[in-house]
Amino acid sequence: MQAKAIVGGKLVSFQLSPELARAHRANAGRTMTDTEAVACVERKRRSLALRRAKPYLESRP
Amino acid sequence: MKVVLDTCVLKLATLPNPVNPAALIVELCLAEKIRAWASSAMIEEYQEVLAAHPELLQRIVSAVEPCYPLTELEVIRHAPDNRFLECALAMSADFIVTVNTARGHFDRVEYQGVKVLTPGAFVNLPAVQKLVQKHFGAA
Repeated sequence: MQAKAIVGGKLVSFQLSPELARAHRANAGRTMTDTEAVACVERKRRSLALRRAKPYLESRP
Repeated sequence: MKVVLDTCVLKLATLPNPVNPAALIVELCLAEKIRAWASSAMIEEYQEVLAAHPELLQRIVSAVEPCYPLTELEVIRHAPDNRFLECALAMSADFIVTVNTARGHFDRVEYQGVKVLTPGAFVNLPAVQKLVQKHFGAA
């Protein structure tokens, strides 16, 4: 599987490694803007922080 | 060339966007053409975001060099971003690659010599263009 990027003003194709190709196949048809990617990471950060805080929050009277 | 990759770059790399400089950067990292560093806090975040792609996560975790920052910084207003800056400064990295250059995030051009670049700008550095040409026979 190949992907494309603009390098030196030219659109170039490059071969994806099997792991990244698998991820692209799994996400087929999905795209994301930079802003959406940042928002997605922030959601994951919040859920991670909440999971970490859960034992403390549950132990409070 | 030492780099620190923000988690959003890894997220973007997994998506079949028509133009995907983030994927090119991850490929260069996996091929060990560029050296990426990550602290345990960063790897924890990588695990969270790439949980749906365990094989890719495994490759990335194997490819990155471990970093153990000794100081906790509060330079960037958005606290989690400081974990990436701590790693970059501890390793005297050349670049932090991120798309998160909004105010309160990586909003400076550089932090004590560590330059902040977007994936698109990073792959257009002359040194990276040479790497791409050598490794992929392109550019």
